[in-house]
Amino acid sequence: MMQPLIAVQDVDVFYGRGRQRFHAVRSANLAITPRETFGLVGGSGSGKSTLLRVLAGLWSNWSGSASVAGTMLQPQRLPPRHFHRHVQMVFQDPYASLNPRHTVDRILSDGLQLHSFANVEGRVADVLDQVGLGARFRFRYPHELSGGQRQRVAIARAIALEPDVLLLDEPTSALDASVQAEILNLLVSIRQQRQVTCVFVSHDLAVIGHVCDRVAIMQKGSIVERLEVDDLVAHRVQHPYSRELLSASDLSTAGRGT
Amino acid sequence: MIEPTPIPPLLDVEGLTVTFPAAEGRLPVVRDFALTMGREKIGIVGESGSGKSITARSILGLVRPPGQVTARRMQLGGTDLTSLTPKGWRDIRGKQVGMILQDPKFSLNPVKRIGGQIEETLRLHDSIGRRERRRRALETLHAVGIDDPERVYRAFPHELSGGMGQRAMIAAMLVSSPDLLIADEPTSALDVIVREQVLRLLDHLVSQRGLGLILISHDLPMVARFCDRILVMYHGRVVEQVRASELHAANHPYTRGLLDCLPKAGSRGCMLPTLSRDAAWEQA
Repeated sequence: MMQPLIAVQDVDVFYGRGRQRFHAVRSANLAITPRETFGLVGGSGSGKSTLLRVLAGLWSNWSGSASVAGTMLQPQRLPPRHFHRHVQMVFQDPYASLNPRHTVDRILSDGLQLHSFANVEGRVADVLDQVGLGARFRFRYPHELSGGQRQRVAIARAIALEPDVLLLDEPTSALDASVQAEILNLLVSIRQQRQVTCVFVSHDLAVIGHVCDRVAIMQKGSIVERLEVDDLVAHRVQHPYSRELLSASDLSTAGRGT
Repeated sequence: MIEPTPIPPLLDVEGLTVTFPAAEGRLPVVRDFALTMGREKIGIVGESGSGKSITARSILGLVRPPGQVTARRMQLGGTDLTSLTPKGWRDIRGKQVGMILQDPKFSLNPVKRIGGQIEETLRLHDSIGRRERRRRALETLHAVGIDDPERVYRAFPHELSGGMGQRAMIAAMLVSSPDLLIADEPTSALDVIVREQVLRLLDHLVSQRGLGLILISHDLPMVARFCDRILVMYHGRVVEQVRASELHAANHPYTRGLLDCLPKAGSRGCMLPTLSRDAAWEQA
């Protein structure tokens, strides 16, 4: 049994304090091994993105124990800077996650400079090639790019630091189907080239089935079922909520004639 | 002997073109759109920027200058839409055509109670008393599958979930019994389970009340399952028109591309086919 790269034990996550406190994730347990792609699935408000924010070191109001890429995260405090060199995140909306006043070059080189990388120039050029954009996009602003191109920039920003863990929060749900296919293909090729562990949050079971190895299904803040993706694709699920999720998404992905 | 007058189609559009000014003259965003429909369910599918939403907006007279709408023919149940005054448009919107938008968070007024927003169309179009308006609003809320209409009637939009908000929006559109409902991405802000519930509800209401429906979406399989006929739009043009039951036999490369690029069982670990666009599609 390989040592897990992401280990989450009895993690509870909250929003607000005192009487206003909202219990967003309840005693979550996860063990994700290196090079695995793990899917978190659930409806709106199920806590999947909240759990991902804790793993990314972007949210501190939680309790329990969590270690990511060799760092023990401390509840009630945010991790040190070097943590983000190893753990990077790609957000859902490429229109909101890139600074509109910064060029692609600055968006990509800021992180590299913060973490004292050598040869920033060369790395920016390499990573742009790797996500299929190339040098001509280097000095453009986000408003000059399409949604798919922006998401490529967001992915380039994440992989430029050569992280061990890539956290993806619905990276394709704001994109058209044809662009979604391009981004999913990009993720497959990145995984072939790099030793990277991914956590992929989505409510789209077809996408999860395409990219993930194992899946956890969440409902109202709790993980209700964990399964291999083959079982998900073959509909071998136990929990009633998983069944409901499967039948609803089956209907929306399988057309009448197909 | 008097010739029986044939029933006019619910909506009859021909040669609809919408242009916006650009650096090099006027840029057409909808080109030569045509649709004749009765009380049936029509799906309009296409990617972002294909012109599907602008098409819907021009049917409601909602394209503002500098946008320009021209059409050879545009009739709604016998009313000529090409020569309507602003007052004429107001009589049609809500009363004859209702529109459901993508996200209830943005399309409901955040500082007004749901009940008042549902009654608004009744207040504008029918001269009926307050009590009767309230009764109809509650009845419609019940019809859209809300179990405690009284609470939702008094609620503000932020007190409702996405699915509930979308139901309230559908109720607001149905309360004055329009003939045609236009739903622009009505479920893309909702999660899969709620999406299914809202679609089933729309389907039920549309067939029960015998309405015409135009469903706009980028989700081709969903539209195929739900509608009778599908128009596929690319770059402002309808490139293919197909019966939903014959979608698998669609032969335009763009339609095929949209279907093939979806991840499905068995595509795992493989590269998905992507669309290679052809400039000729814009001329077709």
